[in-house]
Amino acid sequence: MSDAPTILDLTGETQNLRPDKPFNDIRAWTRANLTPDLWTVLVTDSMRDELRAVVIQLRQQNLPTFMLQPEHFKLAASRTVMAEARHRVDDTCGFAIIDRLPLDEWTLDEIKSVYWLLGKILCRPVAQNATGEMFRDIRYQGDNDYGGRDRSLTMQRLTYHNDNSGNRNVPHYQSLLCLNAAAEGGLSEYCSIYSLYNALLEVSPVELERLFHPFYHNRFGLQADKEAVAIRAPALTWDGARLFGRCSINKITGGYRVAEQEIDNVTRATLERVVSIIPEKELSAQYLLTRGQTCIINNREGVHHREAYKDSDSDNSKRHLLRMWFRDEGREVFDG
Amino acid sequence: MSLPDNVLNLSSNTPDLRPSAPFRNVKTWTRADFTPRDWTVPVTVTVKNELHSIVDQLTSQNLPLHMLTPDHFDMPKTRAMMAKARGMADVGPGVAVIDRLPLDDWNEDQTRSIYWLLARLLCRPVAQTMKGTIFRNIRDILDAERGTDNAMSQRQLTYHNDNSGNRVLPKFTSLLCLYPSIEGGESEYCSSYTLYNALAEEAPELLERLFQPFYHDRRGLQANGQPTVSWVPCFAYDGNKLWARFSQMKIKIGHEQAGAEMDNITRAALEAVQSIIPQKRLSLRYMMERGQIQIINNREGLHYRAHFKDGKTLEQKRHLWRLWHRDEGRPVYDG
Repeated sequence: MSDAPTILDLTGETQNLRPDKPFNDIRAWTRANLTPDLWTVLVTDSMRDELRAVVIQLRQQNLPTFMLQPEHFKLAASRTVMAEARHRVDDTCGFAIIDRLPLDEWTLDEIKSVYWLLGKILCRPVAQNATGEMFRDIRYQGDNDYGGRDRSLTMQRLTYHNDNSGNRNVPHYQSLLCLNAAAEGGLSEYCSIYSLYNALLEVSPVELERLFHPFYHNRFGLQADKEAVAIRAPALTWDGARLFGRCSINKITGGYRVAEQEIDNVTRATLERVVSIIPEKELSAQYLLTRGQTCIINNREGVHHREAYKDSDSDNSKRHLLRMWFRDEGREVFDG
Repeated sequence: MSLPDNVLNLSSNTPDLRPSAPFRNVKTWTRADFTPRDWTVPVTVTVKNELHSIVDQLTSQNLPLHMLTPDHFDMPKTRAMMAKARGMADVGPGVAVIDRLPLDDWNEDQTRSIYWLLARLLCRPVAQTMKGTIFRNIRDILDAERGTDNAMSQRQLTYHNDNSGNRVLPKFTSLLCLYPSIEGGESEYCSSYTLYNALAEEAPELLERLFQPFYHDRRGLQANGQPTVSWVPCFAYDGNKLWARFSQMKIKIGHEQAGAEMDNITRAALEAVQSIIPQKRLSLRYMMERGQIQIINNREGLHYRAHFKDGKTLEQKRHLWRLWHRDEGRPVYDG
């Protein structure tokens, strides 16, 4: 088929393989067999002491945040904790919650410095928009409509999705440091893509197969000037070892709109099935982030979700997370 | 000798050798030997095109300034230009002036990004304060905001090395001229080797004094709880390079801070440095213009700035961006 010039076709860059059987390894968990201890990585006393020492050093001699390098500090215990978190994100649950940083002891700048150093130990941080934003403030921005773009800046529910699925390079990991939890709501969920695959294979094989075929994904104006406004790529790919998700109903419906393509019935049913089967089969883990916790997710091998929430009038009860994105491929700019 | 508690003894880490003969090398030039062509590195059309292309890329997809790295851009001619400048500052005469960036084509952020990338090609930029200031605005500011740094005034700065009271001196200082003054502000640079030769001929006993330790005030720029004064010679020779660590002002205050009286030979040695450079015309002189970048070897030469006057408009007020560079230690202020 021929695309309008406004579409960046990435289908040639993806492999057209299928798994030959359901997944039965540790990555294919469901809510029933995952307990919080499997995703929780405790901040040890040694790590806390190291981070306190880092902050004391920074109070003596500082650098711009983005010049800070883990190599310049003694962070052996922090490296151990971050390696464990990465192991769980890469090879077990697909997500981890680091519990928790002593935020009350530090200023916001100090928190950002520590978060940046831990982020650099995890993987390379990358920009979250074309202007080069590295720390994204995820909080209510005063408009629950938000023009249909970045819904994470509203209090609305976010349905199951991969972050930045309309971009050329999808972030490998996403981390969220909770500065303040909401007064009410805001429950998070994470669903392994392997569990999702298994469930769809069993009850909706037609919809599962559709996910391996291309969709249009709206880029919502985050692309560079003169770049295509939408991409065309499958929502699911398999390279023989790992599944790779690229799914956001919001972006896909928006993608078909800007591509001026009609969404056919199978496509629509597929998107609806992804969103319905996760709660129906209780495939996802649920957790409520609290102040000082950092949630790290594998953004390519799982989809995540956030419930609607309410802030209170008090500044300390307004939900506020600091988001970072990570990947090792390409350059650190937004489009990689 | 025992030192007061507020003194950081750096003299024990300093080589205590003496050159066996006057220096005869590429750094032993005097003003008579030098023409602007010898210290100027032109910015070619090709380099300008590379830099314009980078600005275009940054306009499309940017990163925080301190994350920008030359490895991410196609800039072979720019690399060659900076390698030439570094060679001149490091193993050549000790100074290079890059002439000049097309600042009128860029906004302030774009100019800063380009300067940062060029600086990273030169040598690792390091902090100029404990807070981690990387770009230092060198311009006349209110007394109340200036602190102890006379570079931020219109006053003359006598011959000195930047940050001479610190544990680790910057290897290079670079200055990008955003706007020159309307009057004055001439820069000078004098090679430490030339200075050594002149003092060896005219005042050998004072030269020897410069190889002995002095108290250097650290201007309150050190970390909390760190000694306020350092104790270290003005000249050090390691058998290969002649390092200078000189600031008459810092040394005078350093002696006061340490409660040490300056004897006559100490005073005379400091004054000899200030007088022999103009008297023997040892330094080169140049006036920086908008878009030029001055790079000096801060360890093997002293520099000077004449008094200047600003005009009323922004474009008539002298304004430079200063970076410090070194590869040793961490990039924090104290290394």
